[in-house]
Amino acid sequence: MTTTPPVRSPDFVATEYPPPEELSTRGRAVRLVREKPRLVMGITLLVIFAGLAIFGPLFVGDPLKTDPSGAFLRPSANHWFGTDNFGRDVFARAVHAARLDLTIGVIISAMALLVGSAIGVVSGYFGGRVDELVMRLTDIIMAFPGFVLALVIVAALEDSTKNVVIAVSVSYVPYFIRLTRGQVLIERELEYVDGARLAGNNSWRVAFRHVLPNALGPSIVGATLVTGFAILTVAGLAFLSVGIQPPTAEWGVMVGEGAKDIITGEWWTSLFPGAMIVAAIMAFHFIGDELGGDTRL
Amino acid sequence: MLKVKGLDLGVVGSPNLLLRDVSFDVRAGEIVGIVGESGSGKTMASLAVMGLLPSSVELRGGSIQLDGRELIEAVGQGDRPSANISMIFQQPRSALNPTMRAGRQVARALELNQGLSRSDAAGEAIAMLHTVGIAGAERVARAYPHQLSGGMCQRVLIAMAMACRPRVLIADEPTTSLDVTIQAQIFDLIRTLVGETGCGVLFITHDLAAVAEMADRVVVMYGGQVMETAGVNALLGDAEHPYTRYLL
Repeated sequence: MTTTPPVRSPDFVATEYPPPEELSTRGRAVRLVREKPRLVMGITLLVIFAGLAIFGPLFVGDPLKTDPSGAFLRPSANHWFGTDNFGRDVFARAVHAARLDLTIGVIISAMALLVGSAIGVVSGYFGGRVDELVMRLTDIIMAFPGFVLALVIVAALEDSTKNVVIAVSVSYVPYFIRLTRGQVLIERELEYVDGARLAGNNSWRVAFRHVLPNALGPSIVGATLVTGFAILTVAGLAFLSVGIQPPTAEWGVMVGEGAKDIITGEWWTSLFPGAMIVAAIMAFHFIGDELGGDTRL
Repeated sequence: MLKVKGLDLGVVGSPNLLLRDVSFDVRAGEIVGIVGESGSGKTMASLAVMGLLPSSVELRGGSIQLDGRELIEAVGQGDRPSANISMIFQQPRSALNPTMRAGRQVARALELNQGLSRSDAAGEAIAMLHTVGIAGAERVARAYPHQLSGGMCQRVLIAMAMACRPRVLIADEPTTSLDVTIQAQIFDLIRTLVGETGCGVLFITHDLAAVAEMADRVVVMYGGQVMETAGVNALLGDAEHPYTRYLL
């Protein structure tokens, strides 16, 4: 009997992997919505708000124009969100407020990020006594709730938009100091840091030009979250008549002014601006969350 | 040129020595291999020369001289003890800044060490990348480290190190993370650069084959001490020390 060479069963033949599925733009969009609904929702909301903030004020009327004969009109085709006790158009006010609140939120989180990460990188990279001092100071600041701290700072200065921005920024700086410092502690042990030093960079350059850019990731994610929370803080302060004052069109001011109308049945003066606050915070929160942020503040 | 004499290193707070009485020297244009198993102290010795000792390790004595200038004071302070010593690393990719383009990193080294202006340095960086055998240097210069292969990263790193115009180049297992063909290319490159610039190389490895191929002289280390120093042929042909024979 002749021996035949062993023949591999067809099962053994390595099959090629199927080529990656080619997706149309629409297919990709559908998949993104299915896999990251929160991200899509957050970005959609943010785009709407950005559009509202940038172009909205061009299309709506004067947010401060009063009309005693048209007070407390229900939401209608003429006044989408109704009118308030002075007959001002709530929709016009809410749209103008979007511009103010979003701008303030972004400025606050940018300032806190800038200052916090600069302090954080110095603290984390150089360590030692400076680090110890910075950490204890952040402990002290963080011992106060951010809202209360901002409230005290605005009270100590005076009510103005600028002072609110400063106060809320200060209350978020420790958050960025910690985030950056923690990441710097990881980054500074990596080899490229030695490499940068050997190339002749002095320690400040290594810290700010090499370590900091690599340590910024978590802080940038944190910044999207802080933007949302900053809007909430500013609106919350305005609600308590601290900081931004009536008759400025600002969501917190509007909710504060409109809250008393609820008892008499005019729910629209406070509900709509309140809903805008919620939606704005949700937008930033969803994006930050999907980007991998730690949502604890 | 580089002379290390009686170097003692210890862990802070412990009387034990990590390195005991380590001495070796590197002459211009010479490749000196340091071999030894893991934990034999070969990396510590090189880090000491570079002033990159971890904060838990302290100098207990000895002398490190470059061209007759004592560096031991500077070594303890955490700054680069001498602009004339450069180093290339085991993991080339992690030794490059991930957020900076490769060309820019080489250019920075040129700016800092040769006083070139930013635009001159950018051009010179591409020339240097070309010198270290990168085809398409312009393209590589614009790439970020994660877009480059390990061999490419090592070449970029060598370009950075050479940008400092070092008298001594320390190569800490420069090819362990690369495959064999790339390894041969990197060895060739180092040898060519030594021929062109006349710098000395301290070549740290556990690979005796690499040493046989690269080094002129060999320092054998074990347990934080130098066992034997010899010419490469003498050592491979007729090792005196029993540990060296064991390694072979």
